[in-house]
Amino acid sequence: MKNLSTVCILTGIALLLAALSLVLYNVHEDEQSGEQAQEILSVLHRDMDEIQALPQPTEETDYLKEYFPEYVEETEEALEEIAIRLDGSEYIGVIKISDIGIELPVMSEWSYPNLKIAPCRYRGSFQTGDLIIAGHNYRSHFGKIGDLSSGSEIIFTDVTGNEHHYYVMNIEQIAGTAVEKMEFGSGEEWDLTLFTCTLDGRSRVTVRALEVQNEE
Amino acid sequence: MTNTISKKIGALCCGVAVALWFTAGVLAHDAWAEETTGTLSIHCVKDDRILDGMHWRIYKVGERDAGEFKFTDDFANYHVTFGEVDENANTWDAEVVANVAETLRNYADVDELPFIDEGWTNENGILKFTGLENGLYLVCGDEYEQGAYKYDPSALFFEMDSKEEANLNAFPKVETKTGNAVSGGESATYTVKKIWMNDENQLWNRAVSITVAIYKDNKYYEQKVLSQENDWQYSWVGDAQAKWIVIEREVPSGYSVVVKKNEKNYLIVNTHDDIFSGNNNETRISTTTTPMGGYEQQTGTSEINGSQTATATTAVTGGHETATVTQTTFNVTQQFSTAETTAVSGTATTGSISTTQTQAGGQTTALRTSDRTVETVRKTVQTTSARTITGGGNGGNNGGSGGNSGGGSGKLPQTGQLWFPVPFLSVGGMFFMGMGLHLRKKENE
Repeated sequence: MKNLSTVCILTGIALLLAALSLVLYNVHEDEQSGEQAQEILSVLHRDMDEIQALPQPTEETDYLKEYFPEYVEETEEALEEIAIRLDGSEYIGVIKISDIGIELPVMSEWSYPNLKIAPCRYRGSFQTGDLIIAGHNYRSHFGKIGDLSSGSEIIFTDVTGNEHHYYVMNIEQIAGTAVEKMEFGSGEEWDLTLFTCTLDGRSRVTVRALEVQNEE
Repeated sequence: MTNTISKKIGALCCGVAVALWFTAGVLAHDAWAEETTGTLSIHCVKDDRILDGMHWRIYKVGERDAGEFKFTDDFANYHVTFGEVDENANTWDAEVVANVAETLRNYADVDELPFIDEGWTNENGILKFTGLENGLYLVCGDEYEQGAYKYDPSALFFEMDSKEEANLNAFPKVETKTGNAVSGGESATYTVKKIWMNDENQLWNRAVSITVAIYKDNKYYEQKVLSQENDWQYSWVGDAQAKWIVIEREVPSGYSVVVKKNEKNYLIVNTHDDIFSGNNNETRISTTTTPMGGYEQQTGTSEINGSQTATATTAVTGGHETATVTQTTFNVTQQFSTAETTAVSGTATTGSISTTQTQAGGQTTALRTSDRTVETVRKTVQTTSARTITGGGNGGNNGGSGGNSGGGSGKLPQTGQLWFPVPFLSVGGMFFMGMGLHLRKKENE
């Protein structure tokens, strides 16, 4: 009887310690990822400033449009985007959401190691209005996107310094297996999607946003 | 007395001998330095695909003479030019350089010009050209097939200009087409258009007509006269699998030529340039600086090791319901280790260098910073029509759509921390603690 009570107490202590350790680990990981993302962000900002200072390509397109439209059309079919490579990873820009106080670099391709560093492109491109960005649910990453509301502004700045302004249309939860649903409606119902896991990991908090053309 | 004089004469002789030895040493070093040659290593690797067995040829096309580049030998007769370039190499438009390289490559291919060396990439996708003297070089690779893919490497253009041994690394741009893209027998309509540039105020300089020669797989196919009558344009229907080359024969006096192309259109640009206003057959470019290299250029960097390869990917759907084309272009860099002598610019420079050029789709940017390197990558964004084929097992090769390097295809990425066990552990812990305390209390009672 006495042994049983001791075993129960020890088990309880072990479980509580495990819970505490997990909390501490998650908090530490959150902070570490946040700091890492901010370090990358500062380098990225500096690189983006330098890229903007680069000479612009020659303006021959207008001339060609008049004389050889087929050539221009075929050439323009392939949109291009630029990414910056840092420490072997490519970054396509910076996402800023003032309402939840985050500004983070966005990596070009997603993988689990990448997601620990910064939000990553899951699919699409800002140029084709179907960009989907996946972010970890660290509070320093996308952990608070569920707090956004309709009309919240999201600014995505590509590495050449062009700002793309989006406004949140709606927030929904999508099952972790609903891949098609996540991608559905791009370019028509939304131009940008952000998502992150719910705390139980089974669903994805999904933010849909529409781009507003810059008045400039 | 005699001993003293002897000692003085001996000392004088020794001094003279040392001076002579030192002078000879310096002269010998200068002579050695002048005679050193460089090495170009071409790396043909795309992700996990090593392009071994790719055939490359290297041509010496020009030299630098007192700060000016001069195309030499056969290449001097083609009236190809970089145009006006300023002294700051960072401002060079690499698209222009790339077009020049491709234009010269076309002439070299169809005229079967003699190359100075050739070789095949080894099992690591690497080919080295050694013993390269100072000068301007054009490096051309042949189309070849590997598995279901067909590769078409772009021409490289670089200068070897070093007083010390230079080691260059080049990562040429390679276009890839899947084998089932355009199966045999399919045809496509090609168009060539000729435009005049830089002569708006002196239209009398324009020729009444020009002749373009069309080659199919490097073999003469036909030639056509372009003039005002046909709007300087000609279209033909030909084998979609063939490699088509369009060149301008007899470039009008006072003009330079560059041929640009995309999938099915060829643009011949004749640019009037005062450089050609005389009867000078030599192509001259006034510059005191260095070219920023060829079609796929270069990253001169102070780093590290391994190759840095930029990826540009295009995927487009073909017109036929089963015909899809996946075009992959990749790469972009030349890279130099700190210990090596750099030579993007051809200037022998040791130590830290930070020069990055990035290219894709014909656009190149250059950036040099004093203490670090900014490496950029251009990718061709997949168009809406192409998106339809990405799910069909194209394995993450979906260009602007980003990769898909983790997780299964039927599930969204798991982006959550391990929070869900916390409440279970806490509740369980408290339960056991409570139960234990309760039992102990009972025991005490």
